[in-house]
Amino acid sequence: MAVKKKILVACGTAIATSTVVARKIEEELEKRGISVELTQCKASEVPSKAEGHDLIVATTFVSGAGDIPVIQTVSFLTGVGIESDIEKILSYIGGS
Amino acid sequence: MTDQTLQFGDLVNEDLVLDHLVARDRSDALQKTATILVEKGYCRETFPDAILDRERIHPSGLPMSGHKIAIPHADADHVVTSTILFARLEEPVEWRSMGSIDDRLSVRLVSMFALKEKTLIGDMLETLITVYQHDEILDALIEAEDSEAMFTILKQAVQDYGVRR
Repeated sequence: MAVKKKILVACGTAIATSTVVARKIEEELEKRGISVELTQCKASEVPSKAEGHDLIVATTFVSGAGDIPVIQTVSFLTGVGIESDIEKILSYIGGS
Repeated sequence: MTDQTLQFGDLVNEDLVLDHLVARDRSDALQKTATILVEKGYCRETFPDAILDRERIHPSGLPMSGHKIAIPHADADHVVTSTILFARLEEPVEWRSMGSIDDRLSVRLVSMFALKEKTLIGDMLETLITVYQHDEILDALIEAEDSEAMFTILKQAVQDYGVRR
C-alpha cells in the first residue's frame, strides 16, 4: 500500500477555519478514493511544522514553507472554486 | 454524532442578534460587538483587543457567492461562556478578505464566534459556513424585518442545512 500523502492545513488559530478546510479536503478526496494524512497548525507555526509534508493548504498568508508548495485559498469556506482547488491539490499529491 | 440544531439553540440567544448595528468602519464594528459579549459576561475583558489584533494579522472577511460576510474569532482563552453573536450593520463597511489581504469586501453581516471548546468551534463554524453558502439565506438575513426574524431564519437554516456528524 502506498504511503499516505501528508497535507498541512494552516489558519490563524489552528482550530477554526483550518478544521473546516481539513474536513472538506478529506471529504472531497475520499469521494475520489484518496486517503491523505491531514494535520492542522497556526499560520505562524508553518516554518517549524512544514517539514515532511507534501503540501500546505492555508486560509491565510503563510511564509517559511521552504520548498513545499502552498495553496492559499478560501474556496473550502465560501464554496466558490472548490473543484479547481481539488484539481490543484491532486496535481501536487499525484492523485494516489 | 451531535445534533447541531440543539447545539445552536443552546448557544445562540436572540439578544445576541443585532439587526441594525451602526458602525463607521470595521474596527468600530468589531469593538462594539466584542464589547457587548464582555458586558453580557460571555467574554473576558481581553476579548475585544484579541479580536482586533487577530483581525489585523488574519482578516476574517469571506467572499461568499452571495452577500459578503465576516467571521471574526479569537483564541478560546478570552471566552467565559461559548456563544455566537450575529450583527447586521446599518451600512456596509469595508473588510479585508481572509484569502487575499489586498481584496476589500463590502460587509453587512458579521458572525462573531466566541467559542471555548475545540470541537464546538469546528462544528459550529462548519455548520454556519455551510449555511452561508446558500445565497438565499444571506439575502433573507439582509432583508429580515428585525432581530427576531433574523434569529428565526438562522435557526431554520441550521436545521435545514447544518452539518451533522
